[in-house]
Amino acid sequence: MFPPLLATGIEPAHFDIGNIGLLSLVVWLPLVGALALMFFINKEKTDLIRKFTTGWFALCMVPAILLVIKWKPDVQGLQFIENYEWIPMIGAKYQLGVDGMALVLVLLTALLGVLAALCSWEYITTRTKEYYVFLLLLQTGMLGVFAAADLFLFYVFFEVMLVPMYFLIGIWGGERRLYAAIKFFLYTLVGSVLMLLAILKLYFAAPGVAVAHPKEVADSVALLVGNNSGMLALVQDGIDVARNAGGPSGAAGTFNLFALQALGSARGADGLGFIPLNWQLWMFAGFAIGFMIKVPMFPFHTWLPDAHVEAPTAGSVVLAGVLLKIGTYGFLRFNFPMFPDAAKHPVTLSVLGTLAIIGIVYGSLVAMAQKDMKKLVAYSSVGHMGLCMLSMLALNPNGINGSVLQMLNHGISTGALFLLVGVIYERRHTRQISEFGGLANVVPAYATIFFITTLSSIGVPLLNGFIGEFVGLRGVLEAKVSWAFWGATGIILGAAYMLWLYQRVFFGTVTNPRNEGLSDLTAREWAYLLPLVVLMFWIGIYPKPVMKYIDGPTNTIVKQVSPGYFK
Amino acid sequence: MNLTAYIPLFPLVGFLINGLAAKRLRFSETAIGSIACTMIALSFVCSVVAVLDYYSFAKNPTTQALFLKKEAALIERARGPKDDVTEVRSAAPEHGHAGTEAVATPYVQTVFTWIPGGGALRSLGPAKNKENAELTIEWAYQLDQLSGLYVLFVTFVGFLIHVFAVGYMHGEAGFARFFAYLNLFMFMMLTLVLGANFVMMFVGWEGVGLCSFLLIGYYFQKKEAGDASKKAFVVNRIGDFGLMLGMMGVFAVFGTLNFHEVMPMAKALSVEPLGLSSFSLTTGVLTLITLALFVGAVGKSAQIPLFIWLPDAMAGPTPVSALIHAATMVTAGVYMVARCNPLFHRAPTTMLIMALVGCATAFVAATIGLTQTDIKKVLAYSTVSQLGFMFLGCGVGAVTAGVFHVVTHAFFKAQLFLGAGSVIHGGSPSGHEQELSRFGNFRAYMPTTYKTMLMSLFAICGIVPFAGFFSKDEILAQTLHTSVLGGAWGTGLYAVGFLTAGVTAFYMTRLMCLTFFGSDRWKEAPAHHSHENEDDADDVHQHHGHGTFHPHESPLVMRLPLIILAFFAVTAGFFGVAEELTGGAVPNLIHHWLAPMIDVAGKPHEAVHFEPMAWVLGLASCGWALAMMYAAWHCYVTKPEVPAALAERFQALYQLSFRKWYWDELLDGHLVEGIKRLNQGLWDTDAHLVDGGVNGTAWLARTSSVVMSWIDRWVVDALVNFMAWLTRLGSLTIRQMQNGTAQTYLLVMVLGLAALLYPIEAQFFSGFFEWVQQKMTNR
Repeated sequence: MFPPLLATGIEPAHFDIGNIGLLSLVVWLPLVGALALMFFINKEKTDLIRKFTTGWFALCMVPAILLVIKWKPDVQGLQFIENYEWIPMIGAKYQLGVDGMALVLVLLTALLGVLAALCSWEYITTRTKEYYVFLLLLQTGMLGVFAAADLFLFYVFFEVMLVPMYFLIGIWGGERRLYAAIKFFLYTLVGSVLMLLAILKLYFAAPGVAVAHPKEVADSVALLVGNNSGMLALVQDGIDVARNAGGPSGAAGTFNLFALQALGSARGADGLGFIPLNWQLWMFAGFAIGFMIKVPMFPFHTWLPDAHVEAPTAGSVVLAGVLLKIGTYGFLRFNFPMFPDAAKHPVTLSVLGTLAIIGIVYGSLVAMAQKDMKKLVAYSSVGHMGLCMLSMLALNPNGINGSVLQMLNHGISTGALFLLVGVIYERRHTRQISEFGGLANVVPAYATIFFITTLSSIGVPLLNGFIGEFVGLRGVLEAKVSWAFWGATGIILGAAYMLWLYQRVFFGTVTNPRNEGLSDLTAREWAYLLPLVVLMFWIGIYPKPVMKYIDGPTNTIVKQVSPGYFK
Repeated sequence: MNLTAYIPLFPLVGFLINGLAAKRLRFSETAIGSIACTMIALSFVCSVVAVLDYYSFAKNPTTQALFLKKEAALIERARGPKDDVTEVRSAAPEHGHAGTEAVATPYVQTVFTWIPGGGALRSLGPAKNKENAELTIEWAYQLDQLSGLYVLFVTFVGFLIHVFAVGYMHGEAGFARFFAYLNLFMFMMLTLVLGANFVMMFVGWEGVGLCSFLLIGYYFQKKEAGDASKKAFVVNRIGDFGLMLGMMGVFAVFGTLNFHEVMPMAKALSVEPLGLSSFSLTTGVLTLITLALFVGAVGKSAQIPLFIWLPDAMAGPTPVSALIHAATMVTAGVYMVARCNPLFHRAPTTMLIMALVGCATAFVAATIGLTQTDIKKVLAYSTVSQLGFMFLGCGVGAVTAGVFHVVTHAFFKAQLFLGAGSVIHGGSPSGHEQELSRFGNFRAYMPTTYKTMLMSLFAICGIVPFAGFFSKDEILAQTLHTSVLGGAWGTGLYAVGFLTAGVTAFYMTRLMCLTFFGSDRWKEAPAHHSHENEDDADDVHQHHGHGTFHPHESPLVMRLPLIILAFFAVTAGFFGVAEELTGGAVPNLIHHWLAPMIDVAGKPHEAVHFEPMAWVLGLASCGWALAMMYAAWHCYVTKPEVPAALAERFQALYQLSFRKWYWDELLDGHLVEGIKRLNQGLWDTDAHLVDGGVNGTAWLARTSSVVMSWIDRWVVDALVNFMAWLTRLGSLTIRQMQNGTAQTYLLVMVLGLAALLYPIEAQFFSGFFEWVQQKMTNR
């Protein structure tokens, strides 16, 4: 059905449309859907539009699942590699590839896409066609971010993704949608500008390393690619471009993400990288601020509650489920492997660690004060993502494994929470907690699903949240006992605000007459909630299949950052 | 033994059937009850078979030799790669001749690999221990003497309470939900005690907390049930926080979380100092770890300062109180301490804190119990107090006695709660009355309940030869003789414990007197049942008119568990008769059974001799209890006016007790409100300061854009306009030339042309002048 995977290492001169790789298919299929929707479907046929889009999203899952089926578990690093010339003048190439970590996030994105489309059926009543077009465009942007193996390409996807999200919030949002949309857009843009500076510096600094230290770079490449010959070719290609920088090709360096990783993490006899530490720190900071805004970490988090509250349900789901993950993913993909000395620098660790801890404690406490359900969930995200950051800062396998799992879990649990808030909002057109009470009497199924999601969110064992939290915090304790102490306070605070929310909304008797006639979950709502609930139990009870994907990339990162970890 | 994994499986199946199918398929109450009870019964049968099987396994000399070898290897591993001279306490020669009973032979059954967490390091403890490890958590069950004992009584008592509940919950809405939760609880509890590693224990630990939440909140329509369930969960989470940190610390020291590896490895570590010097990660790592673990126990087992949730938890149905909040879940803390006793024994500072906390809790809760008016609240505080005794026992090093008290307590306290349930069920028209003042003289109406509760009363008061006597007295005796903490501590703790035993006797007798003796106070029917939902009960107990209502005995399905539990409340003590009392003529079965699990940090078990002193102590506390029972009888039956007078006279003390040492006011009024204020404050900060910064930046951008646009208009653009103006000015001058005269135009054109053609002209003229010059020179 699909063409064979492209051979890597050979550089085709042009982009051959007849021979599209599986990963390209995953990334671009939503865009194809968007174009089809734009040009072939009448905007009056809203029913057709939403059915088509949902179906298309489901269709997009097929190649994503094929990725899993065709996955070779014992190969280290990237798979489904594609490598084409794109802008030879600057050395930017169209390079795709996913490792286990990216694969997990691609799958999450693909799944949340379907759910996001499905949950918008009733919610979106105006300008339906544009809405779904934007949703599909957004999907391509997000998938591209995770699949890109070229920094330039990554940056393009990273920026492109903002536009549909901006419109989703700005057109279909709540009352202060314009404020929220502009805030979201500008805030992220500020971050990405700083990131761009760091990218350019790295682009010009890396070739020097390739030229001056070929032997160490070769070691670093070997560590990165292991037994993966395809990836070796890809990385070697990037290294060669860097080595010949300024040559006849005209490029001043390489944008190949993994070649840059290899160059950044190559070490001399003194155990330090070849890029001077102060430059590493500056570049680390440039990337870090961009990603910290995305995560978001305290004090860059205030765009999040506004964006969440104003965004339509699907927007919130995608925002929490995928967009925030791009921040943490970025840290793992760029900051740590490319600037290992800066990552291990005590100042970096104490600044980021402290902010992460503040995020956990402060985010949870502020969540407790919220009167709007959606805002509460938004602030809980600040806390959860704080834990995610703290875990990865442990810089050991448990910490990073936990962090990646936490990304996945947060996407599932918080995604589900936003969906659930959307369910009740569609019925009552309010999200004020005080408007509810005693709902367990009226909508028992909804109450049950909400409860399971709550438990998953607060990390009760046998549900997904616990695994990530436990593994991550264990890694944190190994790195720094006091961090683990503060990180673990989230266990208490999370339970406090979520159960308090649950109690206020579901327990007691129905006091507000408007809640009396509420209908329970419809088939469509079941359809988009059930997959997430299944995932919660699956990851909670048998996380091994997921861990299998994460563990390899994690170990690579640890080896790149602290080579002496595995004796 | 191979049935171990099935023990928790059956309740899980029961939960799934009743939880998912019962409502949809409209199961009858009988069907639901039968399924739930059968599952627990099967679980009990499995437990019996497995434990019997295990018994022969553990007795087998080959097994013991094998495990001794394993233990030696583990100790070696814990000591690190090369430990220079310190001699390894080789377990084998010392008490290694196969056949001795004190060999730990845990049977571990692995089901699947649960959490493959990846590579790790042992990062705490002696420096030489730093080596690679792997965080892999197996879903595994461990059967040994301790978990064997626990599964036996948990499934047995659990089964009886299930049976009781079938009668008690008859007619309640959500009957299936109730039994589903109850079965889920059993699954979690069995996972807790059978778990082969800390994380499995944590699963059960959180799981029972969750079921407790669900069951306390069973009447979720009631505000206090919702509040209580949330409080229970959150307070328990504070404990879980400690447990989580503790178990991570264990991994950091030992590189594994499996009990059967950690506990032998602990033997390689030395005993840490008693005192403040142990609060450090270098010299007191075990102290800190065990303290964190103990925080978990404090939360789960309702000790000071986290005991407040347990009395509130009485908002749940009474069988829940009996099962979860008396017999099983709340004793999980004791189980954990017993399970980790090799760690605790190496951290005397923790032991001291545990003993102090336990003792203080026992005393405080007992004094609160004196004045409570709700029958279940009295029992709840009694439970808290008895749990305090258990921790006192563990803290002074008498882990066996602590565990033994768990077992006897499970029988008599479950019985008391079920008895109270029977009283509540049959004692008022609504079937939900819990105030002691609305009972009275019930012994005439419910003789079985009365008689069986009387047995338990003697047991809890510690009267020879009822069960409580042997367990409580052993705790007290060991407190006095504690070798862990040193003499003065022991005497002080003993004194408080002894005093508390008397208080216990007093308030329990008070409860019995108010319920079963005195006048028929229930006839003075209350006008309000404010705190009970009568609606639920209406269809069960037809509203008897106040004249026609009579308290009635409960049906057989409820009486039978009462009788069986009472039987054990009388006899369970004989399993653990202290050998000091008899000189070993009656073997202390519990002690011998648990001996392999107990590690007293290198101190060998001494042979026990007959101790006359033991009799003196035992009889003294027995006499003291009897005296206090008589005092209570005197106050509440013979002279009922005395209590009120006393309360009047000692108003301050009475209020202290009645208002629970002001603990709730302190927590709800100050702590919780304080936190809420903090949250609000932080939220304001976030909205105004942090977000204000963002909006401020935006404002700055907008303001500067206004400024810039002003500058743009009045400076930049003005400059442009100025240029234009200049141009116009110039043009004004030049315009003067445009006067329409053709001659002028022509002149300008010619001049212009001349200027334009200057190069040519220049050449021409220079040639011309040259020519003229030539002519002139030639001339």
